[in-house]
Amino acid sequence: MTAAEDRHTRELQRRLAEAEATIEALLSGQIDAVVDSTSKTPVLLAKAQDALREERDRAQRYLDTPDVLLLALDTDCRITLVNRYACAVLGWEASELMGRDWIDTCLPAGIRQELRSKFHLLLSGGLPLGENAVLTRSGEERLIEWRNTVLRDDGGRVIGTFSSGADISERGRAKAALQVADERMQFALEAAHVGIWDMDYTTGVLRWSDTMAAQYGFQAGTFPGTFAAFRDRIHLEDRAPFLKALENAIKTGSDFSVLNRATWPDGTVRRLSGTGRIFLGSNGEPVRGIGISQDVTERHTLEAQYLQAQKMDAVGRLAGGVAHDFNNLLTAILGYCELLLVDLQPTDPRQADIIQIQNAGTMAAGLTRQLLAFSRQQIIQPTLLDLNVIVADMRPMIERLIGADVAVVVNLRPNLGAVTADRGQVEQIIMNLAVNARDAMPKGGTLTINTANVDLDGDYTSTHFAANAGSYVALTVSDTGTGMTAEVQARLFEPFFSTKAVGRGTGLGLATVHGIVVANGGTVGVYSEVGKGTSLKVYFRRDAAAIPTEVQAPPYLPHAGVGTVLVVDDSTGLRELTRRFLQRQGYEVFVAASAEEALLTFEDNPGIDVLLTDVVMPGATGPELTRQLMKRHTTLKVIYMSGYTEDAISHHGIIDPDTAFLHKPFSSEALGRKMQELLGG
Amino acid sequence: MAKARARTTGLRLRLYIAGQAPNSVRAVANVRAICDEHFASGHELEIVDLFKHPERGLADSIIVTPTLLKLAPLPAQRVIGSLSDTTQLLMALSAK
Repeated sequence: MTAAEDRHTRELQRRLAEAEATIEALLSGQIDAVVDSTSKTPVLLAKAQDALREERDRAQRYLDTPDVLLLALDTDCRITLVNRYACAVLGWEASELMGRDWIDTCLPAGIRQELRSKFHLLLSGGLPLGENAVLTRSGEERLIEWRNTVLRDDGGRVIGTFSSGADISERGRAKAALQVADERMQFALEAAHVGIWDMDYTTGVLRWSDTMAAQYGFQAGTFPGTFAAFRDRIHLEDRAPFLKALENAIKTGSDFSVLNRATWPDGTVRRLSGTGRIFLGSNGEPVRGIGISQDVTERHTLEAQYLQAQKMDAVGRLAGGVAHDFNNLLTAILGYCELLLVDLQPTDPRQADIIQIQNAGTMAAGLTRQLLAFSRQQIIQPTLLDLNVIVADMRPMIERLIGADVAVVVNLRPNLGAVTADRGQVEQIIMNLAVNARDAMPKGGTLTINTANVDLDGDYTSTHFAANAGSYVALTVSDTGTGMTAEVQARLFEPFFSTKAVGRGTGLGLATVHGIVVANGGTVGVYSEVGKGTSLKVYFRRDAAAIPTEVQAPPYLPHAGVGTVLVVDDSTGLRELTRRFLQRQGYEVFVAASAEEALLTFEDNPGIDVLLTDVVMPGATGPELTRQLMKRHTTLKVIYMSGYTEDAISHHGIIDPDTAFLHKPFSSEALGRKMQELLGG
Repeated sequence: MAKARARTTGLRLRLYIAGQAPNSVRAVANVRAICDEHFASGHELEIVDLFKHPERGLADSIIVTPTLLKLAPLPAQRVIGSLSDTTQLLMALSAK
């Protein structure tokens, strides 16, 4: 064999081996392309094609991932790829979108310019995340959240962008709705001054609203957000019960309600009402706690004031009831003293003893009158009054009341004008002002009472809105006490406002004064300086009428009585005494213990001239009895006698000035005068 | 290029593939793995995609892909298939 033949043989063997290897590779599926001998280009084998198709399908499936918009743009912002979901959202066919300008085709006009400038940023890789509205073919806008990336070729050159997006329109709408609801809730809670807290037990962070922080004395934004900071502001006495309630709620995962006080750094104490809910994790440990808190300090104070007012009312009713019975007893005591004094010889040594009894009884009557004034159940009978007389009469009582370390100075203006008011109410006003003045001078001082005629002109009334120009009689009560700040002065006449210690003042004193004076067409002025003292000036409308003087009163002539009287009273002692008073004065007297008995007596004695009756009695009242008798005896004259009234005479407790009325206790002389007035002597 | 070749142990390979077809992808992975393991100190691997450069296949009389050519050192060798048989491949590459 020649060398050439040998080389040729080896070449054939190599080719054969190669062919065998190729066939083997083909049979075992290791070949994916064969070079076509005519076109000289590789042709993929079916299996390889299947695999490639599978690969492409997988890519397509990825592209068609539901709920994700996929979008590729070239550097000119033209669409190079858009998936099925994006097409569905946008309302276009993919073939319609390919190659079109994304911004002009699919974005709302209002944001096109902005987004075009953003696109350049996108190409430089500067916008990995974004959110914007897209415009669908039907003109609807959808909100899309995008994740962006930059596409590069093999050489690393930027050839476009690739973005995946999620349609968050619903989420956006829900978010907006949630935000509105949240803001509304926030507003409602803030407006209602309700504080909110939120405790994350996994991190130990306690979040408070500004209102909540304010309730515990923190400036906005200064609450450190720890439970310890909160606990330190709970009032020491309330801390243990609060922690116990919370601990219990954590144990059971239940709601809890607590009432506790908060102590601020400046010592202020507020009363708070809290409600909370604890959420437990699957392991039974607390995960979260949320709740609200309300400041109930004012409500608590009001409740306390209401209780105090109720107590005062109850005391008043009790005092009124006692005074009523007491008046009946005093009428009897004083009446019999009077009878004894008339019967005894002037030289009788027992006369002095009886006068002592009479004095003690008179003082008791004064006390009863005060009780009735306090309980405001006295009968209001406005009459012409001289304030000078009243002040002078009250002076001994005021001096006793305010104690030895306060000097009382009284300056009474001569020729003082008259006022029309109820004497009891005026006495109450003076008493209240005097008590307040005393309380303002715990270390002693001087109490001055002045009276004066005052004409208020336009200048005064324009700066004191409650006053009308006109003529007044002014009563001024001044002290040299602690004085009042402007804040206290501003609230002076508020019911229940008191600077006195709890349980001492009712907060009603000056409110009552103000109420009475204003109801009578007057006004109250205040002048006060801290550390120097206070003057309260009460202006009563001056009455042009002159006060009938004592001299003008018709002289009382005993034993001049002519006529028949029926006395009706359920109190035996009083009934008997009245009968004896009247008999001594010469009247013919019948007595009855009740309205029913009185009606029977009238049947037998229709000629009775005067009915003298108690107002409040078991069975029919005095006014009811009067109405029945007046139907048949139109000329009958009536005198009521009472110690107090429970709206029995009128709904307002004011007796018609024409109605004859005897205040219990009454003297023989008072009764005689009333009878003479009524029967015309 | 001259400098780079000087540093190699002289093993020069050329792999013909057909785009991302599965056997081609597998062959690329296999030849890279064996080169990294056994000829780490120096080798030269050229990968030719016949879809992109069909004219290159003509020069080397390529009929199917994947086909691996051992160009140097001689003798030249040709291995057909996905190059999954490591032993056979190693023998072909080590042949002298």
